[in-house]
Amino acid sequence: MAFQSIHAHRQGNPLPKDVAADELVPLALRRVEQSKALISFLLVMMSFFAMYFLLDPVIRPGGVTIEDAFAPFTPLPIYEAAVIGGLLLFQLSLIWTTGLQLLPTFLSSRIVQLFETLPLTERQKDRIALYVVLRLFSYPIAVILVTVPFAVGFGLHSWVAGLAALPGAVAAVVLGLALALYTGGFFVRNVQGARGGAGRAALRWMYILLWTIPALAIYGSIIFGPGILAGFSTLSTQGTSSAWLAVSSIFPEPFAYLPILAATPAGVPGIPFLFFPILAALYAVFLGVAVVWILQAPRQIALGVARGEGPVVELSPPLRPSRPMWAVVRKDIRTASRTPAFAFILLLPVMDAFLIGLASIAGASTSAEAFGFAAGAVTTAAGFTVVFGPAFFATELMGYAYTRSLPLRDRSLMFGKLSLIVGVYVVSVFTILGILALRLFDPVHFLEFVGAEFPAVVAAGLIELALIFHMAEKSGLPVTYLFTGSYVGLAVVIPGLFVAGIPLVGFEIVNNIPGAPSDWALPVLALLSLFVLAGAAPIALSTARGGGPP
Amino acid sequence: MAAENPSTSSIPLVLRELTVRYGDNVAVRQLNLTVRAGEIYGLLGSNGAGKSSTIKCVVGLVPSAGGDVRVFGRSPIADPLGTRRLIGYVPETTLLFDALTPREFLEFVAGIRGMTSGEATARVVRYITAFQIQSEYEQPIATLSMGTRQKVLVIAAMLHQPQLLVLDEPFSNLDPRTVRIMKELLTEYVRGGERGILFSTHTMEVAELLCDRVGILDHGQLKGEGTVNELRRVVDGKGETLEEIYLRLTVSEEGVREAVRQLTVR
Repeated sequence: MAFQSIHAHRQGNPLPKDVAADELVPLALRRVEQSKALISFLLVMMSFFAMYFLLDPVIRPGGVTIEDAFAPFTPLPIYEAAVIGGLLLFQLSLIWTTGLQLLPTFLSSRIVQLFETLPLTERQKDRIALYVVLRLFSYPIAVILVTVPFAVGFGLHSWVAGLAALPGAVAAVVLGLALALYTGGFFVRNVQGARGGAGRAALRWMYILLWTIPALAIYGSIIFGPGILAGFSTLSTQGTSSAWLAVSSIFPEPFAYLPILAATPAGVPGIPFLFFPILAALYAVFLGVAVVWILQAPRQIALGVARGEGPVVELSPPLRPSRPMWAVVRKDIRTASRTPAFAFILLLPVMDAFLIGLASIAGASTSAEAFGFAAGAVTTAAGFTVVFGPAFFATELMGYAYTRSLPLRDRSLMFGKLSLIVGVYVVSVFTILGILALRLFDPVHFLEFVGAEFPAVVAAGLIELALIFHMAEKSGLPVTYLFTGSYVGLAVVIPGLFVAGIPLVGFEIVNNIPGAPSDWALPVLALLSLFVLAGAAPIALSTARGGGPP
Repeated sequence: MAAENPSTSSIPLVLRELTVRYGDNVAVRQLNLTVRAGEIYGLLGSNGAGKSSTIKCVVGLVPSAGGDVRVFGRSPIADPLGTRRLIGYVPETTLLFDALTPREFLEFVAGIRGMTSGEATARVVRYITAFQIQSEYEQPIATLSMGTRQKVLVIAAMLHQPQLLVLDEPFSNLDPRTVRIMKELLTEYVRGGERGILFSTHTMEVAELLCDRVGILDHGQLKGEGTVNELRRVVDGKGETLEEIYLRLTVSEEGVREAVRQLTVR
């Protein structure tokens, strides 16, 4: 994997000036470690939050119980199991999502094909492929197996309960890996390996929407968690019903109840004591089968990558070359349609808009409330767009050395990427508009807000791209190489967020000044947005002066 | 540095004292080389001799540490876009935008090259048919064999009928039928006497058959240059084939014998 990340240099990309050639591999390895450490940090934070939610109410500041705030009538064991279940679901989803992101890298490294030529047994080849994949998850898996029992044990004041949480942690890891490999293989066959054509492109985008399910599960569990908990609570008060038993038997609930039973021998209201241990044992058998499959799956998936040969096609449909800027946009959208990780970057702001829009349907009862939700959703979408905008250069990584041999102006490249950033924002806006049109809602007011915010989003995108181009020019490195460094990512994204945020801060200040007319806020937002755009545009245009891309 | 040098504006490629460095490692050392109009020039050398570094520098992918590169009088540094418009390039490795199909990739290249739909379609159909890759035309590049990727790169390089073709190991991975087509195609390509071709290769037979002149690179330096007959005179007629000439010029003949002796000792 580390070798993969230095591969770009072989394609003609210059070496970084401040890094000696023999330090490239250690540098690439460090970047892989950083990525794993970041995921591990997220996992630790989630365990910490779960522990906080489980702790005794008297420890919390203000003496207000979190259980009461979210679901006031929920029996404590059900609340605790929901927290543990949510934690396990989050860990599983993160492993699944990460696996889906990394699987294409694993496959494109063709490491498995290399080992096929060596005098190894089938079993040894299977194990090598498995270890290569598992290395990608080394810290995250270790973190899950350590922090989940710790968080549960500490949160429930019972180390026996902590130990009883270990099977759930193992189950989350196994199921997350199995789902990542299985769905990853499916997407490699049906999305990455899919033939060209407009109809097939639409099908690929539908598959990619399915691909976002694990990420949606993470996000949705946060937004809809309290509602789900309230539903559990209602079902539990109805005694032993088939619906309550059915809901409680869905993974990961049986494993989530094991620590509760260990800590509270009185059991769970409405459910026989042995119900969860028996279900957990049945799940364990199923997961055992999954483990056997996982042992040989990475190699089988890698070897099953389709070799491209289809029917002889009719060459008559003419090629439709676009102007250079649109050629970059079309290439990126086509790349995204076969690269789920990249498509995810494009879709995240839209998904965010969709989910917050849905939540607002349930929550808003007046037009003012709906507008508040919509403004929040579109601002979050703008934030995501600005944060992930620079990642649109990630598509260039492998083919970029070739692109640099083409007569592509840097302005064409810059405005192509800017069009993607703006396009994602606009799609998010229309997603929110479509959902909220169902509610009491004044679309004109919403569109005024969007129109006022829009120049700031463009300005933020321009500043980010100008910074990337400037750094590339200064360091003599291609833009794609720059983006692989996390420091550069932050150095670009933070100014972008700052530029996008200035008008919103002004909007909020005017909104909260006592006695200020409420209709001043929107003009202030619009003026500040235009102001930052007027500042950003000349900077961007002077950075991309019209030569070849750096 | 002047964007255009009138004295070399009709010459496809002129390298003067070109030096390429990677940190402390000097890959190309003060190289002088000219590809004349109507000429196919073969750059020969072992692995690491500096062939690809020279080519990447001509195309503008790697900066030079010294010297001058002129493509029809234009400098890739001072006028990168103008130079790139004149060049068609086949890189050493076949990594492209793997998520695109050949059709989508060629459409992208044609767009950047500012080609019309009609001319792009006509040329692509001709090449795809000649190279017999109709069945791979709508398959993602990631799933294609190395040979097919190489064919796609050759088509992309020739799509706009450039004045200078720069080919880095163009025959590696190609099947004999395509190699034969390529040889005929390249010979025909420079027949008008205005265009030029620079290509690197390890394959002496191809170079001997195809090239008007060859340059032999060793450790970043040009050890010999000329037609095969001229080079034969340089080694006092002691080489029959280009391979023998190459081994003599790079003083590796004795080394080859020693290596073979070592490898065959029981």
